Amino acid sequence: MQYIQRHGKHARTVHWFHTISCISLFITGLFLYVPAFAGALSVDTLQVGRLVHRIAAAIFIGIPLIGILVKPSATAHKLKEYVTPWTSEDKEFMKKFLKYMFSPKTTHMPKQGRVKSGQKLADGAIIIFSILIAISGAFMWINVSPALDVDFSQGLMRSMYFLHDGSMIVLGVLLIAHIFLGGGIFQPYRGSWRLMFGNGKVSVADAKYHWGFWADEEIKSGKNVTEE
Amino acid sequence: MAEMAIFYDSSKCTACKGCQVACKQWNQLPSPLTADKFEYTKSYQSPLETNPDTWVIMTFDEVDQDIGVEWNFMRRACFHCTDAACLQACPVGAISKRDNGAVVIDSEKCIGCQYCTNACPFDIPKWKEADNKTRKCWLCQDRLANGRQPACVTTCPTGALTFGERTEMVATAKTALDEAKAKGFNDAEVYGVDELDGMHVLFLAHRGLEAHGLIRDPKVPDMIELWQLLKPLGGAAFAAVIGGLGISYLTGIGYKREETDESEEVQK
Ligand code: SF4
Ligand code: SF4
Repeated sequence: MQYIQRHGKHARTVHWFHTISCISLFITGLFLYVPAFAGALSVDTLQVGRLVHRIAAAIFIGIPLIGILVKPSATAHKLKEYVTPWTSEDKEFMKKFLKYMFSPKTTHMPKQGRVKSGQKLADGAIIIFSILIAISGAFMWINVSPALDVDFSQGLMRSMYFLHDGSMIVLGVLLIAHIFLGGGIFQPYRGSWRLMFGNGKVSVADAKYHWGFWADEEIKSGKNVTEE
Repeated sequence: MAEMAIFYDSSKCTACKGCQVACKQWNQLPSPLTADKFEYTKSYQSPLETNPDTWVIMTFDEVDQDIGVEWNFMRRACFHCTDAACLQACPVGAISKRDNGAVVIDSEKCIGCQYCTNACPFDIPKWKEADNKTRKCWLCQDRLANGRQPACVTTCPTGALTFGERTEMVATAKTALDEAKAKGFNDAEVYGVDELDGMHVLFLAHRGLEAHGLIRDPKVPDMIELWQLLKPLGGAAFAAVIGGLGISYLTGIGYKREETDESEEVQK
């Protein structure tokens, strides 16, 4: 059977770090977001949760920053995949996406490039709201750090609280959808978890189904194709 | 228990700071122990702001007049608002409203996040680094439980501070307003009766609210209200997406890729 290497070791490692940090951030964040959780947990547990939240935040912010610093050209190349002009297939994909989600058996999706148009939108939103949640979180962290002795205005901090929780809701919704699709819970995406948590390879048949144009290019070049 | 309130009458206050000291003494709130820790405020107002160990201060609004300096005094401490922004903001339920109207921080539950210090429209609660807790006036709940009045009220030598059932204090405030106007203080106003759905510290500001440094028409900050709206909104959004994806999963049961309807062609 033929496979195409879709994600390298570097991308999969970064994804592992982000998976662990995001889930830790989400769970420890919920401690303070859901009043019933906060009420049920002891002060010590809440304080440990706050500490874990900050460590996870440092990983969440630090990993992409390191990536940008170490490989600026690779980052720019990746980002360029998101700003390509929208083709008729892309538009068609978006039109059919909702029907596809609720009737995958009767919906044939158009061919896609390396990044699906829906993923371009979702990832764009993830990048924007991740920056917002990181900035607001940094303000909240600095504000309660005695060592830094910074006193931000009440108005600024109120806006940061709103921004932090608002961004969390958007990112949480996208994260749940990402787990449903990327984790292969959605039947047409079955097995796709291996792309990030396995060896990063996709069968040619799956590649053609999901990213037809990209699969054609890869098969033509043959550089990343293996026989197993 | 009936709702209780303190009434402060600025026309009777001499700013002796007895209340400020009595509060520190009763609530065992230490002062700095080293001489150089005392800040020089260039004013009789000292400290300039409430802090974790000073829950009530007398403010001295100093106005230059032909006859010399004129002071407008005011009592600055928690107002024990009915619509309390601090209580809305606290994520762990450490702040509660007592039946007698007092808004109280439970130190055992406080995690020192300082959301309340940023939410309060009057900037009253203050965070203490040493124990990572936020503190403010608690309307002497221990004294009230034993039939006594708040320490500040008990100590006031001029009768500027009185305490009792809130309805009585509202009536007292209105009488004091009439008396102040009769004495020629035409700008005199009462504060706290309706503000933030009713405070549990009421005021007569005999030279007007602004002259005594009180905020006219205070509100729970819009951003705090919006922020709190996110809790039910977020819950609804998560429930909707999980429900929607659950339906999506159900419609996909039995899906086989080769059976997918290929009849729909891409419209170029
Ligand atoms: S004055 Fe501030 S701290 Fe006191 S009850 Fe009102 S909002 Fe809370
Ligand atoms: S500092 Fe304490 S009382 Fe204030 S919001 Fe945080 S947990 Fe609640």
